Amino acid sequence: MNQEKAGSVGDQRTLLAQRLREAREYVGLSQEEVAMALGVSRPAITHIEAGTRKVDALELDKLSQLYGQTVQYLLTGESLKSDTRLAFLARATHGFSEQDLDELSRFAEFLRSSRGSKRRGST
Amino acid sequence: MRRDGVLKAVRRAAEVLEEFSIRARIKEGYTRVDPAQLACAADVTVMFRPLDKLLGGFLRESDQAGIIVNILRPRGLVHMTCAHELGHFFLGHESTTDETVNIGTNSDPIEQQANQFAYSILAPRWLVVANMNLKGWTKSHLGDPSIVYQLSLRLGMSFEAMVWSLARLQFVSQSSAQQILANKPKALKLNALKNQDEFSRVPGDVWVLDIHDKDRIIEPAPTDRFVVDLPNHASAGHLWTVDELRCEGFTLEPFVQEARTVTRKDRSSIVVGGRGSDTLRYELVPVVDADGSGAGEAHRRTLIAMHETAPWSSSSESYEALSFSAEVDDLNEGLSRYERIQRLQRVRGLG
Repeated sequence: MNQEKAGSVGDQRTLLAQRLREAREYVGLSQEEVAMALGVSRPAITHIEAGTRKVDALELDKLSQLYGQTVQYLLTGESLKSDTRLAFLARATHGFSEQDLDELSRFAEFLRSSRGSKRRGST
Repeated sequence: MRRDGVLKAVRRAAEVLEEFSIRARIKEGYTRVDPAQLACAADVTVMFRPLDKLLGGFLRESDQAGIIVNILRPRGLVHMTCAHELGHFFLGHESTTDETVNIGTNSDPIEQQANQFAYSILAPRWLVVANMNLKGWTKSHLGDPSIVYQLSLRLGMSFEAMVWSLARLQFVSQSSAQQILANKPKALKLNALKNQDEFSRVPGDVWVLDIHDKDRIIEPAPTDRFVVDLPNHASAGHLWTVDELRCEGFTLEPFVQEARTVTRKDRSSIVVGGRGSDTLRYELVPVVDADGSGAGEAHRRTLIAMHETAPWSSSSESYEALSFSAEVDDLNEGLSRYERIQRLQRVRGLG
């Protein structure tokens, strides 16, 4: 678990800001695109990611859906990462590079947390 | 048993193309199947990331299916990897990773199936034929490496994968496939640009376009270059020019030599899309954007239009015209473009 110790409100906001930025960059969305989807200005997103603007609950919910991350993760840094490494990777006979392992684990985690935020079709 | 698996993969690919109405995309003017678009339609999340040794992977996690593709590889290989991983999905395979997607190099039946699926998705017989028909190419043209190179661009495949596709479809023999592969795409690019300096750097691909590409929607990379072979009626006083109102951002610059000299190195006398000295080759040169804008979804597709005029005539009548669209296939780190658009729209819809 990569949960940080509860610090001051300011620290928490900085960490939230960092996670929001990282999550946006991971999915490859620009600040402009996110701003438009949320109906706010682009500088507003810049400020949110600098920790100088508050994020309301509704915005956080939308960001969580855009970024495929749980609100829980964005707020606290607690992820759905399981301690067991990807089951299929354990079966692999050849070695993976560290970078590739990290990328696969991160993507698997992303898919798991996208589960709740994807509200598609009738399923 | 293995043969059954391969046949199953080929059949499944045909079903998938049918199910997701890919022919409609081609009818619209596109020249290729976009595996990332197909994945998005099938609810499979595609993520482009820089990877080290892997080309890609297919993951099933909870009820989610996802594809990760190494963005650091050449564009054709990125598309092929995506199509290959999509094969693992549609064929009901488990999570897996791939260091190679070359046909014939992997003896694992699961991988062979995914390979066959990928080739059947990116280069189904009907699509190769459709592209050849549009360009007026017959099987005999496929011995010309520069034509095979142009075909590969239209199908979004690497030159090598294109050659193997043609061999697989028995459009070229194994031996001529080997001969074609003796040519390097770099030399074919320089040739298209009439560049004699073999040490020149040509970062992107070079599209050779002509009147047969009318109304097509091509999907080049941002770094690609375009040359156009246009009917030459200069002796009648007709000149080609880009439509200033409809085609912002490009100018048309003639090459000094005539189009027929382009393929002089080849044994055959086939001219790429041109008609000997009846055509003149021009390069479409992008005008550098003064304000540096032009990025973004709205600007992804550019209409490129040109027409022939008679400067001496007072009428504004134009003689021949050619227009096509270029939709930039801008591969970036992160989710596929389709996935991003879908997410943005869904969130915007929440009000």
